[in-house]
Amino acid sequence: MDGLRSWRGLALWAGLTLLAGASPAWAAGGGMVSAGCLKCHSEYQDQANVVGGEFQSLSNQAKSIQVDVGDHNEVVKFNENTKVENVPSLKDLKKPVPVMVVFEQQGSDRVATLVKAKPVIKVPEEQQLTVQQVQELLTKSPAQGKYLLVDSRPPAHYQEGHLPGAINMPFGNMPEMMDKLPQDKSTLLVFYCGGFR
Amino acid sequence: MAARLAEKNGYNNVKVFHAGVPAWSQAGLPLISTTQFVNDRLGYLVVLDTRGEAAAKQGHVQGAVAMALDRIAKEKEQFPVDRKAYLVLYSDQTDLDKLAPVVKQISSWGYQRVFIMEGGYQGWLQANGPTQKDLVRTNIFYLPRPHPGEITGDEFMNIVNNQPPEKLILDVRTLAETSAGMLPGAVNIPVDALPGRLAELPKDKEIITHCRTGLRAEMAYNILRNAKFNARFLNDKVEILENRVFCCFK
Repeated sequence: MDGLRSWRGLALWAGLTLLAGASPAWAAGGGMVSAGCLKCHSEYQDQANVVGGEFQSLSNQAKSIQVDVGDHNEVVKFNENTKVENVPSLKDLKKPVPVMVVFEQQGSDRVATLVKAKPVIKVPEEQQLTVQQVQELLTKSPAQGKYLLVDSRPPAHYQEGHLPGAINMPFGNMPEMMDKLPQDKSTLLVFYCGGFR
Repeated sequence: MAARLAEKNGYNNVKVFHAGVPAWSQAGLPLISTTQFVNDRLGYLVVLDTRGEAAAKQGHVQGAVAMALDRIAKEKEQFPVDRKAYLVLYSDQTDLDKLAPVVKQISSWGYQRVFIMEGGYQGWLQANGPTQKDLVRTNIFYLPRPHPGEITGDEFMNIVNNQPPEKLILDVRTLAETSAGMLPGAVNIPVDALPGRLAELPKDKEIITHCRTGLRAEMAYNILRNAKFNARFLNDKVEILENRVFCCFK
């Protein structure tokens, strides 16, 4: 991702302002990026100006966005200069969607310069299955149909509700879970997650 | 991406159900909850025992409502007003074929979180989930799970009415909103000004935030909590019209 370099630049800037002034109260709390995000985006670890986690809520009255970073929520302001990526505008953020917020410290306020929703990965059309196709597949048992449904979402989402017969292999844990996939490499594997946003 | 990783590991028949869970659930198709999910959330979801009252009397998931499959369609009025309420159905086993049509029906009423419990009552017993024998509920009752830091409306009104010295009510609405009136004894700092005005707040009192809907109150709570204040918030609606207070409703 190209964007990363410029974020690093911002992080350095924010780090310097931190040294210059007294440490703001929020810096004393836990990390501002959830463990789930860090699994794949380890570069956000200990960044002074990045909040990453599950989008919680947005208030237009308060011009603020709230993000669940795992053990607590972080609140960051936005304004008309806040850049938005992967959704048309901030009001199009709908739970559940992971977001990454880059902010600047402006006085006592944290103001977002960028709010980036987790992008939907492009999949070639011929590799995609529709709802109807998956439904059809499910009329047979995995053994009969020689298929396996794999839910790539975090365990909490899988536990709440998954497709019948699916196994859970969170994307971040896939490398160490490869043995859960069938021995026969010609088995039809169907991956799914939180879908379009 | 998961599909690519599988291909790298030699799998040669890999597909992606791109529309994923939202599309599946919008189509009214069944999603399966684990017994662990149901157990963790017990008390804050509606559990429907579809085996009917007689079977439920022999033993049922603690707090479940006995509602036989053929009764569900007739009981629409009883279902929670909140269409985001968690509804979990179970039978003796997973019994997908039996429960899927009912899931579809309930989803068609607008409910977005309708699930089937994995393994049914047998699975629940195997997982050592809490059970009851008598005291079978036949009426639906739904209580949303409180967010961390949430105060109940009752406790909130108690504080408003008695104004104990160790508590402070913080109204985080805008000045335009507070001009129509505030709760007695409350202090106003709009949530967008809060990070810059933390020094005005006491560290030795518990601060209870409120706004008009609960949304900004929760943000204010999180700002305070992250700044090491002792705080909670009201996740309810409060209307103040010409100094008359209407509190607290969901």
